Amino acid sequence: MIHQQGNAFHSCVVEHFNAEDFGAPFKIILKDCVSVTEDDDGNMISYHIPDPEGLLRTVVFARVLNPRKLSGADIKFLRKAVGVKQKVLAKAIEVDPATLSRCENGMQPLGPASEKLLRIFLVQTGIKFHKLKECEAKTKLEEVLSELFDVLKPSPVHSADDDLELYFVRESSSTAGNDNSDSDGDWEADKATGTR
Amino acid sequence: MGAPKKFEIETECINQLMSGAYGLTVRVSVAQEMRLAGIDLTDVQYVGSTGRVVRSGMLGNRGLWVVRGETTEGVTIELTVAVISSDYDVELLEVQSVTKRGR
Repeated sequence: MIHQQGNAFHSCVVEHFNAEDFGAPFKIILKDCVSVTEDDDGNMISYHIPDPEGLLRTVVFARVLNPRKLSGADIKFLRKAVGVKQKVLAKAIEVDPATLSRCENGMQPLGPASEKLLRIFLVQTGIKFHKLKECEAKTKLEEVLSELFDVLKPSPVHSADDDLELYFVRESSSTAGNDNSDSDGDWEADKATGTR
Repeated sequence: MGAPKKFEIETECINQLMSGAYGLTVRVSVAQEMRLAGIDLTDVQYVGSTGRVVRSGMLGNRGLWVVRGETTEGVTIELTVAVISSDYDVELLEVQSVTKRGR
């Protein structure tokens, strides 16, 4: 929490928080879990996000499982979110680094086969980078791979004005009574709100 | 065997902390500076969990550390953070770009 002298600031949990500082090319909306500190005039002074590391991992998985074709900006954001340099990613999905650079800059689309390989690589690397526990990682990997191969059909975006919004919530039912906001559960993609 | 690295314990602590479930407070003024510098929270997360502490002090009862590291884009940045490690709480006080790799 923010540490300020005096009592001119107050904090509250906001219903919807657009986590734009992650630099995603789509909207990351956090529901009922971000605490905002404001001054008496209602100007936001700071915000507090629980478990940003877990959030990033959940955002990566949610975007990977979203059927919308990955744009260049999506690829760059997802690569950064799993902590991988461009050259490393290019080698992993067997494309020329210059080609990947052009894709990330929006000058060239990534082919469907490379995109599928990229999505799988992001899941695998996301699990490693974010140090998921073995049993958790195994379950997550099985779920995501199953959805990637059996359900997901990447689709092109039809309108440039058609914004993608992904919603996330903190699942906290198993730890009722725990007053530590940073250990009250895990980030989950909000299936009730879904995607817009 | 080489000489022990300075701030090794602090580095280990911040890398572990920012690789796990911690809470992050970001001041709006810092967020604005970050945007101007082309830095985002994925960079902060990456450097916090892989960089090293280069300066250390105290801010009240909190550890005040400067963490330096390279982003995935090859840019060296420094994060100034105030930390209460027992509360898994990190406040981002400043983010600065130090160098940019030539392309």
